[in-house]
Amino acid sequence: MNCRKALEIITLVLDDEATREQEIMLRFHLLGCPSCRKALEFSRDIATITRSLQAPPPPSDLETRVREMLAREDIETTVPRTKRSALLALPAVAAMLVAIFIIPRSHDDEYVACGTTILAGSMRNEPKTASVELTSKSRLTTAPLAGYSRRSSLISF
Amino acid sequence: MSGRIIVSKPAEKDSRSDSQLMVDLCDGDEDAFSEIVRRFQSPIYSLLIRMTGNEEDAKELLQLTFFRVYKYRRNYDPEKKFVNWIFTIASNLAKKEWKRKSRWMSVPLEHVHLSSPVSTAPHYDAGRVQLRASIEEAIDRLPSHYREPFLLREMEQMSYEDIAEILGVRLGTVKSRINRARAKLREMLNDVWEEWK
Ligand SMILES: [Zn+2]
Repeated sequence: MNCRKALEIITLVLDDEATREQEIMLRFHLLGCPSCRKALEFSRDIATITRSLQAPPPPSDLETRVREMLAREDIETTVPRTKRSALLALPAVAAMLVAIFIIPRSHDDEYVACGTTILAGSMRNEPKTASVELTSKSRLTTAPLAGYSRRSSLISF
Repeated sequence: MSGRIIVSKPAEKDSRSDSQLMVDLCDGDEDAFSEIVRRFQSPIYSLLIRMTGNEEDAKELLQLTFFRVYKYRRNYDPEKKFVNWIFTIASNLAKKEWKRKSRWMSVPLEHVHLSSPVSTAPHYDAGRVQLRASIEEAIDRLPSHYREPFLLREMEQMSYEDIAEILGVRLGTVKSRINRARAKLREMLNDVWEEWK
């Protein structure tokens, strides 16, 4: 057995995937090959330390954030697109109307108050789409999900 | 006069299998989703941290992984291993992020040390701490197609078959990539290891 083959078997041994026969062959090779003995010992140390690495705890509000994302997605899919764009335009329309009422007719207090109340009321009933709060980076939360297909047992996005 | 002792019942461990949880979730059991998050958040997070190289991106991809688990819950086949399905989702997201980043940046990944060396090393010794830090950096420097199978094997102790399914590659490819990852790590870490021995 050459060193290249021995190194392949070393990987299998470390992963408990070597056959009995492969182990015996490797053992013979190691008797006369200090370089592969070193590779085995070295890889074992790397494996031990890698396995002991611990990630910081995941964020405690993970589930809440996921559910918020799902709720936003729900709103976006249940409100028809045309209605959504109309709703998104509402603040602009409101501003224009307020400007029309306030600027030229600022003396007519009652009229203005009535106009703004109606507008504010209608905006309160809007779904949250107009002011969706994005998490830290919008590129991930708002990126459209790419076509999703499933082939045999694997999924690809 | 005897005082009443109120013994709070410890939260019972959910003994349902992963795939049963998914079936229950599809039937409208929202608690099943909470349990899935509880079970898989840590392993998925540690893989994502190592794959992205920073906590911020890992957190976002973690969130997106569970979002997709819920959203595509009906695409999951309960006959298959759930762990492979969820890791495939996380892995695909990490790859996508990696591609997106490497298109725009050529700067190396920021190195995140997974464990605080002083508090977690069982027998604190400076050489081991140095070796641990070097190993983490070396893993981060591995090309992603070597790093991922290596991490799934070492950190998640997955079988070659499962890794092949998650990554969508052949069994032989998994073996050779893990072997190459180890060879590259030995190459990168030779000096620090010799010093530590
Ligand atoms: Zn040899």
